[in-house]
Amino acid sequence: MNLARSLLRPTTIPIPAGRSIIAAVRGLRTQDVPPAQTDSDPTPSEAKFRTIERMPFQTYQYALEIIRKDRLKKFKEIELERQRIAGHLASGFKPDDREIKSMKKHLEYLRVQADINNPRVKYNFDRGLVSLHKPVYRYLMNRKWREYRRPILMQRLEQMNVIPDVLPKLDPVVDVQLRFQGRDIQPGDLVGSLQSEHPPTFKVVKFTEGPMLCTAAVVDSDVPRLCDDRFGFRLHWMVANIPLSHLQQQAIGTGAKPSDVVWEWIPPHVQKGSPYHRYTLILFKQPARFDVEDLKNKLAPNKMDSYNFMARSFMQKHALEPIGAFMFRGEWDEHTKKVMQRNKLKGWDQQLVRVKEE
Amino acid sequence: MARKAKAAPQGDARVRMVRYFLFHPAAHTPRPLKFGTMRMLRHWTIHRAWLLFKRAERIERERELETQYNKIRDACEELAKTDTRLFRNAISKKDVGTFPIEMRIPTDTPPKKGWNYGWRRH
Repeated sequence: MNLARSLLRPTTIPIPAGRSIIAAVRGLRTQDVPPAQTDSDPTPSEAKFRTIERMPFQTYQYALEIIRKDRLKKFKEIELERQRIAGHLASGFKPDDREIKSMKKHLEYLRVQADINNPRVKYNFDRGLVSLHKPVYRYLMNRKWREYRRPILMQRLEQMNVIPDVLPKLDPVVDVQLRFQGRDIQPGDLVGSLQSEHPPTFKVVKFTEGPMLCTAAVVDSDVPRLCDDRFGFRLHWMVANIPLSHLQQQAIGTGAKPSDVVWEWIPPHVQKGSPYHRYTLILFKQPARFDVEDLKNKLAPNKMDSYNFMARSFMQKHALEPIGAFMFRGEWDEHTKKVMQRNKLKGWDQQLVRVKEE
Repeated sequence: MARKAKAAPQGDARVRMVRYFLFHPAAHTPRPLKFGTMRMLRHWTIHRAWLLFKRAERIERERELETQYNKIRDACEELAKTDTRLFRNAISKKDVGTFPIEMRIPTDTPPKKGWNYGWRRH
């Protein structure tokens, strides 16, 4: 393969998430591409096309030379590392061993470093055209997420006290994006009763390579327990065996792979007089495929109104690891009564009133 | 040198204004540049290439130092195996102060003035 010429041109057209290839190419074009040339026609002179790699600035071209040479060096290192990993695996190491894991991490690092100085990659990413197959775009997406949207999520989770209440601690590794009725939700947003009557759809952006099975659970942490004069937890939704990967981003919704609903969606309902309720969606990573009937039996006591769903103990019992979360809020509005009646939820005719203690 | 009392209120206001607009950094700091997309991309590329170049230089320099250190250590080990007295003499810090001012480390290029054959210590 003539690396020197094809170096800065990715050999595959970047396929942006959710857009067609044709739209992507149209976005990059600077002039009309002539119709496909037959063998008899002479090939058009490439000098007519202005591209990133052909910009006529001397220092810039020198810089491109240096980057090309470094890229070739990285390819050699990648090849060496691949051979080393293969050798290790052949001579008795298991794929789960920490030596193999750290070697694979280093390999991923080298693959990113080979492309990260490429101006075309930067241009593509800044325009939003990413190819989820390439590690460099995943790396850039991860970095961008960690700069702004992840700190925002952690701020909301911690300020709303979701982190000590629902989960002891959380280190989000994947980006969870929720949508109700097709509308994007920011973490901490108040969602209307009508909007949240039906289960949301959500995307999970995984920045590392490989498939995984996930469980999503939505927990209401502010259910008023009048008997005890305190608040309890209620499970609103649980979906298990969601197949996700760096290419499969849609967890629930259009384009998602089939998964199993363990606990049907209970619409968020906040009685009049109650302060806002916090609803947390926790995304767990499953160690293996779950038996749905077994899970349903274990969760059956939740049907009792007074039962508390403790995410902590659920996590521990089933060896789940929280990799992502999202949080939204609900409060009483004019549609809550209808929603509760439609879904046969108890308490639609109750109003909570603050009783002054003497 | 004792200065005389400053001239009455810093001189003429007009002169002061002219001097400000001619020389003061507040009036003469260049405004932050705004680049277009392609100009910024070229700048970024050149910056990345320069960082790569500096990194390669640094790694090369550190590798050379590492090799030199290892060679020194190996040589000392060999000496220790060969002769204990010479070894102890070599690594002793006794009566060793700072470096003499005349000492020269190896340089990449020769000195401008050449070799001074007439140099004496006193």
